[in-house]
Amino acid sequence: MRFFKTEKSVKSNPAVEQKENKHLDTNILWQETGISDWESGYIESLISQERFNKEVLRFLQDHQQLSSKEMFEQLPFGNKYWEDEPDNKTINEMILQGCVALKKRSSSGMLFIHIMKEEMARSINVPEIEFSVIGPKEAFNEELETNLLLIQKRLPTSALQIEFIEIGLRTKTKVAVLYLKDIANEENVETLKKRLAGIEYDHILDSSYLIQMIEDNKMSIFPQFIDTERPDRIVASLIEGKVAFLTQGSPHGVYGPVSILEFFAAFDDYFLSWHIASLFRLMRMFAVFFSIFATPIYVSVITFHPELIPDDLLSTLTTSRTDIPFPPVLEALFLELTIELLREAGARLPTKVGQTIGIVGGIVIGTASVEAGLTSNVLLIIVSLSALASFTTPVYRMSNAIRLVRFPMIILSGFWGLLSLALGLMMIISHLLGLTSLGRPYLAPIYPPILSDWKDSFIRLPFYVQKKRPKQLMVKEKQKMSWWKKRDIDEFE
Amino acid sequence: MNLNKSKFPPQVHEKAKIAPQLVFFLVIGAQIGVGILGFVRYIAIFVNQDSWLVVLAGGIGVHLIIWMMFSILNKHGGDIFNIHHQFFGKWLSIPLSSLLSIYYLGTAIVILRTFIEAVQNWMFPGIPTWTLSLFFAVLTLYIVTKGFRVITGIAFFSFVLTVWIVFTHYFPIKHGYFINLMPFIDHKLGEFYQAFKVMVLSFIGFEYLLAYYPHIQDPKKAQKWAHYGSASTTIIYLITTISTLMYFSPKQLQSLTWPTLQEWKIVTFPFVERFEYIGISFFCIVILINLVLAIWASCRALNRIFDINIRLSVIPVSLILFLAPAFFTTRFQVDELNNYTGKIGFYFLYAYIPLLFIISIFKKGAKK
Repeated sequence: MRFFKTEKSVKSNPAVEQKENKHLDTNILWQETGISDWESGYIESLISQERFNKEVLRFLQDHQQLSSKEMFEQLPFGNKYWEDEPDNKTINEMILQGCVALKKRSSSGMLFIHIMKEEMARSINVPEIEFSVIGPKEAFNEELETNLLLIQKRLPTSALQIEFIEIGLRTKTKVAVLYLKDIANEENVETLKKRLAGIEYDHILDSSYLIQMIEDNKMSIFPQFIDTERPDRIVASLIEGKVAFLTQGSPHGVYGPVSILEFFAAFDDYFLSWHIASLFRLMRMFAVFFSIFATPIYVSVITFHPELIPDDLLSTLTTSRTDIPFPPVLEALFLELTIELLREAGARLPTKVGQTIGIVGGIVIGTASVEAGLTSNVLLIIVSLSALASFTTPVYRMSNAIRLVRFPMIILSGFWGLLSLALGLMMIISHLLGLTSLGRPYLAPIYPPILSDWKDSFIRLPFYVQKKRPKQLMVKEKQKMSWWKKRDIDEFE
Repeated sequence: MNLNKSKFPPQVHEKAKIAPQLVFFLVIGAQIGVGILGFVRYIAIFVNQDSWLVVLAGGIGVHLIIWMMFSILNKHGGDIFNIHHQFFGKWLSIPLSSLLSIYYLGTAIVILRTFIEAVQNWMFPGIPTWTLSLFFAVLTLYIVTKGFRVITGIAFFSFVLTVWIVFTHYFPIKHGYFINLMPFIDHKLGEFYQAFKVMVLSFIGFEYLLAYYPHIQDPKKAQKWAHYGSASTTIIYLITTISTLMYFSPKQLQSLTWPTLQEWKIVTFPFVERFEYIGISFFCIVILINLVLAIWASCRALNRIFDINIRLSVIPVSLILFLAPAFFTTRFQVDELNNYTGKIGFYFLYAYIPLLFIISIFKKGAKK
């Protein structure tokens, strides 16, 4: 882990503060080194014993004649610190971050060397949630250091700013805020930093804690940040002019501001040809609407407006429903709930068992309930299709939100059919209109309508068309591409 | 309470302002309302096959009024409440602005009640008035508290989501007879005037401009878009009028309450029959923006006159919107309500605003 001397932007918990100030941590092992009158203090589980013995102690032995200040100057270590008159708080803090404290009994100064144990971090794996057939297959892991490396090696530019903040009164989690100095809008950066620094909470164990604490509208079910496990996605967002942050211990980077359409863009889209990518995106958008509105429309048409359906189709629908004892709303809610149960059970169980549950639930329960006359098979088809459609959303948070939105819509359609459904649609739209992400409008390229940003929204046009960064982000450097000369017929380069 | 608030030009935060182009959606969204479902019958009473001419004249009249509004607002800055204060002084401006606020609220009630009537006639005969009005009132309350940018967004979405309904007029025009439009211009001037007066009810809505003018960035640029908006309204009304006139014979037309709904009956797609259910449902969206703008303008007026927070005043105002429609129970009452509002709207637009315009010519403009 990287050793930080971070600015203390966070207010500390006063109770914790006082306790830490008074005493030295009891876990610290203080002992004589046996070399002149040097004594050392460290926590055994945190530091590398091997380095301590082989490097630190050997150096002390070879330079016994030096005073402690001279020793500090000559020690061949990068991460070393000197305190003239250390109080207990500083000592605790330094040692808890993986330092060894060295002190000559005769003098008051203390020197610290950071030789933390090389952690047994997970190696860099293939992204599992955002897997792509083509394209890089590196995903973040839990080490902030590694994650920063993954980003920095893709962005070897001095414009990349990394700022560290320490959040969490007890966990003291390190958070790195990243942005490109010459592109990102300063207001966005400031907003993010201010919100992060304002957090006062005991423990921050994952970036999703932070997301939930800094969202613009904490009451909304729609996510207002995107978290991704792909370093390339973070890099792409940085280059677009967004701000990102990484959290120690979290395998997900987070970026913002985002607009709702980005939640339906898989990063795959940039690796495939633009025709295919556009088709996929449109398909996903359609899937969202289908997923939210298919069941409610079925319910309202069957309950209130059967006249809407042409004769041939109507007979099919009525035969499938003749023996069903429940009103369509209840039937739909029951089936939706079943599907949610299956999903939840599949998610909680280990992969192999989960698959079995899917098959048992999907086939056995589905067929049985139709045969028992509890549900109509048409509704079963619609419900499972809309569940399937909700899984096409590439961002997990968003697909959850969409599944949740479906329930109020089904209940609404039970009131006055299409009429209340139209009002429900307006309810969703008005809610989305009011949302912001880091203060920028959430529905951005749609409303406020910015036509030039549509090149990479519903569809993805070829790269050479996308000469400019999205306007909605109000970036400093608008141009993405310096020139692209189109050859005329029979002209060659 | 600060009765002097309207003395000062309105202060609107930059972030709450909208781009001038969006005025297009606000104008068209507020103008087209429930009226389009039945207005043709009312003007056809007087001028029959020449109704389209009245629609055209009404549209041109609206352009004239919009031009007057913009010249008043541009010259004196601020909004109508500030202008009242400048022209008539403090004590006269308070009742005038309050009347305006009531008028805005009144239009919302008329629109909502008329729409609920259409629903009761065509979709759910037994539905109690208060249930639907409760739904609309709550949704309106929610949207108004989100601020003017969101309201504009609703206007934008209501246009985008419903503009395709215009194309359903293809079916009645296909089945209609052009001969129904003959002979051209065959009525007296007095009849035209009466029809014109009735037509105003369908065109009102752009007068919210007097209230939201300060919310526009660079409002001088917005005039163009307001004109485009009302021109589009006129075109949509023209299409509706022509298709209705072509499809129904004059006598048949007089026997219908909602000619447009009747037309939708013949709209068929391979997968949908009885299109009017879909049509009415989508009209919810059209109605909503009418209500939202009217309620917002009404609350904004209260804010400007009495310095009451919109967040606060919107609650009683939408409570009125919820309760009022239930008091009009019969078809006759709803008709009367519409008539009166139409008359008030007519005098407001064609008498009061020209009056303000004349005063503004002689008054000195606001300092830059």
